[in-house]
Order: sequence, then structure tokens, then C-alpha cells
Amino acid sequence: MKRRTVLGTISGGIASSLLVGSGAFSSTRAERELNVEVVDDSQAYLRIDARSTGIAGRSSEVNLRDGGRVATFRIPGPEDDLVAGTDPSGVGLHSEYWFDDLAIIQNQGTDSITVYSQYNGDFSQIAIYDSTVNNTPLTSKSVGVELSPGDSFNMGLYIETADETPKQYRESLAIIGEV
Amino acid sequence: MNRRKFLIGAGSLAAGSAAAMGTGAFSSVRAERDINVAVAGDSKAYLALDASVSDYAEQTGGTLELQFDGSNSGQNGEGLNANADTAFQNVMRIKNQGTETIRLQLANDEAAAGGIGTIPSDGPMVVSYTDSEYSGGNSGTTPFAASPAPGYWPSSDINSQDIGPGDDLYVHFVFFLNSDVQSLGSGASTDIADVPDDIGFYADDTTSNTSDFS
Repeated sequence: MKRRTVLGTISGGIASSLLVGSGAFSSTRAERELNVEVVDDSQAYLRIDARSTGIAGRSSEVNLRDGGRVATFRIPGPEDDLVAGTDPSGVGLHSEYWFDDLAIIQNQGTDSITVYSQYNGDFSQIAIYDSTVNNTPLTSKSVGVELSPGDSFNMGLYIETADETPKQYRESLAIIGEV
Repeated sequence: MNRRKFLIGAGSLAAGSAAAMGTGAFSSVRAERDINVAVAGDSKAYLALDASVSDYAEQTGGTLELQFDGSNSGQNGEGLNANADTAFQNVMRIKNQGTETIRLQLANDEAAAGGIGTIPSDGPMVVSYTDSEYSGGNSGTTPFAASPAPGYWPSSDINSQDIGPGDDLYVHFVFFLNSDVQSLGSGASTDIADVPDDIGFYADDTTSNTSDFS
């Protein structure tokens, strides 16, 4: 019983030395190695591969100035007039268009994720959809496509127009993968 | 009892930390990507709706409008005769400027769920087509599957509403307002008020239900 009390005192001593320690130690800075790599869209954790699918040049990758290649989409594509007799200038007004198979989206992470898109721009709507399953625009997480690690789907692009002025538009779409 | 508690505690702790580790690996990505889209007038779009073939259709502000009311300056009349059947041939041309064969269907924009494949089926409007510019009797044209048609016309065949890339078809309209003849049958409307305000043109891949211009 006595021995036990002594032990208690010792532990009290430890406590106070800790206190001293933290008072004396106000800051430290330890550099640790952190390996981060930015890679092409086609190799990233959220893989957006616009190289291996798509037709008429509607999907491709472009170089960013600071390295890395990112997916980009063009409607109509530069080769959209190669089929004899066709020369589309774009999508029509007051229309909904679905362009299938423009890219492969794959989860290369370690958790299941939900993939969807967000758009805010000049058109009524632009969204991605799963062109192998159905044509529901994936405009929010609740309707997104769930991908287990390694799983993928063929991404299509949904475009809805209203009263836009006929011309070229440069829009931006956020493709989101979330656990 | 004690032991059991411990196991539960340890188990849930382990699971909790494993989940936390997993999430840390890759929890969310948001990538903004460029999309260059051109908007074209109907006559030059992927699904080209060409109003230039007649004075009963006109492209106004980029979209095609069907005009059977004298509003087009190329027309001399002001509208349809009462209690008469009036046909307009080669009113507009529809061309597939995509890369795949499409199936063209009429759609009722006012119906629920897009109304694909439906227009008012009990008259008085009949919409038909031919593969090329047409002259001849109205019964030589093929009614769209969604459209009613007099019994002596050919029956519709949705498979023939497929348009290959670069191909087109000409669209014809007949308004059966003659209530004495009742060409569309005794149950059909001969009332101009039953003509819809809009017609949807719906083009889809012929093999699946998912794509228009893939």
C-alpha cells in the first residue's frame, strides 16, 4: 500500500516536468517531406480521360502552361463536318442535346465516390451524364454516379439551350468526385 | 459483462479510425473544365430545321416557326378556309448533321415527360414526310408514327423515320377541318383550336434510348 503511494508521487513528478516542458517549448518547425504530384487528367485520382473515347474531336486534352494536360470539350468538334453532307454549326436554340461517350471518368482513389457536375453560366444547363446507363443529367450529388475504387463510366455531355444568341461560347463545368 | 463492453468499445474505435484513414486518402475533387459550345440557328444546327424551302416556315431569331396564318410576307392568303381540308407540302426540311443515324419523332411539348412520340392523335392536324422534295397526292406521303392520318394513307412505320448522317426529309402538313367529309374519322376533331401551339422534334439514336448525336 505504501509503495503504491510512492508511485503516485512519481507520477506527479512526471506531470510537472511535462508542464515545464510545454512552457519552455513555444514553437518548432520541422520540415518534412511531402510528395505531391500534379498529373494529367487521364492519370489523376479522379481520372477524366478525354483521349480514348469521343469522336469528331469533341473531346481532347490540352496542355496547361504550367504543365499537366486537362480535358477539354468542343461542340461542334473540329471534325464534325467529316461525315459527307454534314456541317453543323452548333446546337440549336430551345433544345436539349446529349453527346455520348466524350470521356471516361474513373475513381482511382481508395474510397467509393459520387461523381456529378455543377454548372453556372450562359446556358440553361450543362451537365455530365452516364451514357452507358441513362441520360439523366448529374446535376447534384443526390443523382450522381457512385463509383467504387477502380470503377468507371462513359461520360456524356448534356446541353440545354433557351434564347441564347447564336455564337461561340466558352463555358466551364465543374466535375466533382466526393466521398 | 466488463469484457463485453471492452470489445464493443475497441471494435467501434478500430472501425472509426479505419474509416477516417480511408477518407483522408481522397475525399473530394472538383475540376473545372472548359467546354466550348457554339449555338447555331436552326438551319445550321446538328438537327437542322430548314425553313427556307417554303413560305409557310420561317427562321425568326434563330428558331423555326411554322406559319399558316398569313404572317409570312411570302404568303398571299391570311389563313385556312373554314370547313375545308388544306394541305401544305414541303413546308420544312429536317437534316441530320450529326455523325450517327437518328430516329426523328414528333413530340408534344405540353405533355408530361416530354411527350415524345405524341401529338394530338384525334386531329385535325396530320404531319407526314417524304425522303425528298415531294409533289403528288397527299396520300403518297408517310404519316409520322405520332400523327393521325386518313385510313387510305400508308400506315406509319417508325423505322422509316431514321435519318442517316447527311440525309434529310421533307415535312408536310394537312389540316382536316372539313366536318362534312371527316377524313380522319367520325371521332376526330375538325376544330382549329385542337391544333397544338408547339411541335417538338425529337431525334435519338436508333439503337438505344440514350443519345442524340454520338
